[in-house]
Amino acid sequence: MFSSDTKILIVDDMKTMRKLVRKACEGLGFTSIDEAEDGQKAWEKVQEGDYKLIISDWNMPNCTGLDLLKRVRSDSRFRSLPFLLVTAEAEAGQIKEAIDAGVSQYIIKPFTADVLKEKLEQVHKKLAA
Amino acid sequence: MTFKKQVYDSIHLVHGPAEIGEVEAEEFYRQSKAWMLTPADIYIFDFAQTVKIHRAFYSVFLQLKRTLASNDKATFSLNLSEPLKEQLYDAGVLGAFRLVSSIEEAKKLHPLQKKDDPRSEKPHQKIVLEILTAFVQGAKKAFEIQCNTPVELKNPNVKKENQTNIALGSLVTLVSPKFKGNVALLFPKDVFLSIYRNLFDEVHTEITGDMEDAAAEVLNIVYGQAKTELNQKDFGLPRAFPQVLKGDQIARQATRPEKTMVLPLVCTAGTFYIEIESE
Repeated sequence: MFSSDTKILIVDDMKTMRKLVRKACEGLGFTSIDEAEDGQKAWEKVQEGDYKLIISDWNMPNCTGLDLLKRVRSDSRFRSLPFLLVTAEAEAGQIKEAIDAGVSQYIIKPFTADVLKEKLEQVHKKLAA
Repeated sequence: MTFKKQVYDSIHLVHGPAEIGEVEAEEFYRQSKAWMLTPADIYIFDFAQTVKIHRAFYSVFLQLKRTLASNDKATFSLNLSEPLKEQLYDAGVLGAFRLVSSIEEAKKLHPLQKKDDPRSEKPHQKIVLEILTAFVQGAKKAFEIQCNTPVELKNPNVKKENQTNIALGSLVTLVSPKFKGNVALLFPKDVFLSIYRNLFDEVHTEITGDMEDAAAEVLNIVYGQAKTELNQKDFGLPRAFPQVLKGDQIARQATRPEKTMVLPLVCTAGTFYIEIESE
């Protein structure tokens, strides 16, 4: 599992979801959590912040989570940066699109802290392999 | 023993168990909430196997019949034994059971509209029912898993007037080749304060800006669930961003009550509502 001091960036235009994800991460023991309220601000932070994990909403105005993922993956510095997409939609076409763009895992809302933990463990396992 | 249902050709057929006691009456009430969302026009209750009916059943049956009637759906009964007919007659409720000798007779008494008739309203009703069902299922899942608040559907009904106790809401516009309209979540103040407490373990006495954001996010999750389900049926619903409803905006939404279905959802703190308005 990721160490508790892993630097995490939570990206969501809705404060409620940022708060929910932060609460779940804190419940899992993480202590270094930052937030961004849209994809553009997140991209600016990613370039300066040395984050080790991004948890981003998909459905955001202007720059979506998928746009952010593509931007992150197009930069060689962040090609293997763990990136989780959170989405309220489970349509197969969209999930395939995210996988093709290089998402590490995706979480479908509604979700519990246990689901987040399970997904993080899967990402960490893949990273360590 | 419980009630078994079959649905075919716009007919919802329910087979009664051998004994309908208080427990079965309660089960009937619980199951009937889902039956109301079935795209059927005629509800037939077959009592061929039934030998006993407890009086507790009368009120739940009559309640369902009234709700169905208000949505232009008919109820009939089949195969009531002579002793049961006498019992129902003595209780003054036999007429409400609307006894027929066959399914065919029920069809004649409540003719079904042909689905291929272009003038028929039924295909539209079926679409609306699919939407209602998808949103109810989505809401149940969203509130239970994300908000730690289990909810149950009460009797759906056509809107008559605005609820006066709504303090906060959220609204999303549906634009699909099959359906155009709005879906709103509407909360009385105390109900939403309780949901928010369950969500974040925070106690508040007034609606805050963070709660407005939460009302929109919950609808976003409900919409995502419903969208996934409906797009498997070729609804072609796009992404959408829910907006918050507060103050005067609450009264201004769903201005055509005759085209608005109200789905009351009950949680421990009280009742809140999904309203679906079709254009």
